[in-house]
Amino acid sequence: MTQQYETYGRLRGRVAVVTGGTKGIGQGVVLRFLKEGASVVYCSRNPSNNAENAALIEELGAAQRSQFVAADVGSKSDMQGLVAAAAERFGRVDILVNNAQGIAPLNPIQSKPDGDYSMTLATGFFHSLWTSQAALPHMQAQRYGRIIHMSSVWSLWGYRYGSDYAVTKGALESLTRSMANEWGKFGVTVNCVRPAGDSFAYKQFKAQDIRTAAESEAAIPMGRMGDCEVEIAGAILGLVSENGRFITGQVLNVDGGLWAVPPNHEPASDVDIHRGRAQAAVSVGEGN
Amino acid sequence: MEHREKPLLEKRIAVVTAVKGSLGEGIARRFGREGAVVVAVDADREAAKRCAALITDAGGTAIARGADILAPGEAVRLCREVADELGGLDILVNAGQATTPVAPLRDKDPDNFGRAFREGPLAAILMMQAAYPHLQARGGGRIVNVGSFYGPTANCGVVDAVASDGALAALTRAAGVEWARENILVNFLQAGAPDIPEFHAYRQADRDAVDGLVANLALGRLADPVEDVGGAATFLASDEGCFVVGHTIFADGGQHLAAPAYDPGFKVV
Repeated sequence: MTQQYETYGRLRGRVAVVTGGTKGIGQGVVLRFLKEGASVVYCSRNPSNNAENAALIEELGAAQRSQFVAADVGSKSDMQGLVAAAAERFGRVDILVNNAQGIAPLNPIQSKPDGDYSMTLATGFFHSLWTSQAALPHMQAQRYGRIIHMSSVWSLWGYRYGSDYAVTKGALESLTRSMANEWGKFGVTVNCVRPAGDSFAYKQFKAQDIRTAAESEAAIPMGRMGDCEVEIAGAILGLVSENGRFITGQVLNVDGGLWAVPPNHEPASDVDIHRGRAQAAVSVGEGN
Repeated sequence: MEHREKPLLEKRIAVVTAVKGSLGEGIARRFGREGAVVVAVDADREAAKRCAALITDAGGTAIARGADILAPGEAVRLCREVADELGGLDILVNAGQATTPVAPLRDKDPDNFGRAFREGPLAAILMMQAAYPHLQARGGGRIVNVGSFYGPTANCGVVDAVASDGALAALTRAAGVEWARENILVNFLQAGAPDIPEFHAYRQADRDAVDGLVANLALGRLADPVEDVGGAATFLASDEGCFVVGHTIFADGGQHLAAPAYDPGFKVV
């Protein structure tokens, strides 16, 4: 499904939990970690979302090292259950990648419903907090843990009409620093990745507005979006493996240089990257 | 060390400058362990040889080059010779850093700033320009610029090093954007205070206070030049870093969020 890359068996013996692992970046992380030897527990809200992953994982011969959990990232008990499932099945929790993010339609601040802010914070900020809290006792007992939160360049420049998303990502970046300072003494590193990936959400956007998408890609210094499994998951692998052992409390742009090139603030305000999907259920556990 | 089926930088040709310094040496040694063919460079030829010997003694591949990067034509000659002799160039690490007397800004000899900027950013610029055609010929490459070992939060008495770090970060961002489309990825690595003799000497002045600062860091310890700084450099130079551009990465256990463990001018000012 994707470009080739080298594998090294570097995560052999490690157990990873990935939220939103059936599409886009989350799927890239799940497959990359499995190919690198880890055991991986991942979730999506709807079991039918797992069909593609199940087939790919079967092909890898990694079915015994993986487990799908149907879980809603907007639910605290589901997130606690997800981490518990990993500990129960594989005996450890070494790595946590909080990838999922629900995404609401773009709307100006004056007309953005409170519910969109609540949903975006719950499925982004709170889900990451809940899984981290659930994973900590395991990581503390192991004296080893790697936590990755996911942010976005949307947190940087005040992109128009996605204030709920920007605010959520800003909260996650602050959480990254606080968590790194509080949990470093337990042997846990905490970092945040701002990807520019050819993610599920981005593909939806591109399908609706190919012109803006082409402009966005042209603006990236490397001239393209990153491949989820090769480039985005590759950097996450670096952070959670031995190379990343002294990197903590940081926000890493894995974006081909996009972070250094502030945007032209002219998105089409009517673009809803989840157009056609039920709004009350926007992509929780499926985004990115 | 984690399990590995094979090394991460197998057969990549890597030039590492200023290997007399702890960070350059640590990165060169780590690259050697990761399977790279390392060219250990220093103005002090004997220091370059010592570094190369550490790598080959550990089973790696390395050659030494004595070179004064700042001398006219020297960087171009060095990169051309490496490319001719080894068949190309994939990775450049610029670890140059001036060592100047610690002094408050009001008293600092302006020439210290000249040295800091020449041995840090200017040497990096000359090497980047010299390496560029060779990296381009390989279809891309990696450049890692390395900052001072005071980290990003020391301020007093080392303003020349701090300003040089700032220039390196800005150079890296701008060069990163310019060269990304050619798949030449430039990044800036800033280490935290490393566990080296200079630090131990510093600590002798006020052991309790310094130990308190180290304990204050998120990971509660100093940087190991090979494992920690070399690991982060490997991240940037390997497949893992293939979409990271113009970035500043801290290999510092969280020191960028805390008071510096090593702030040699603190008592001077």
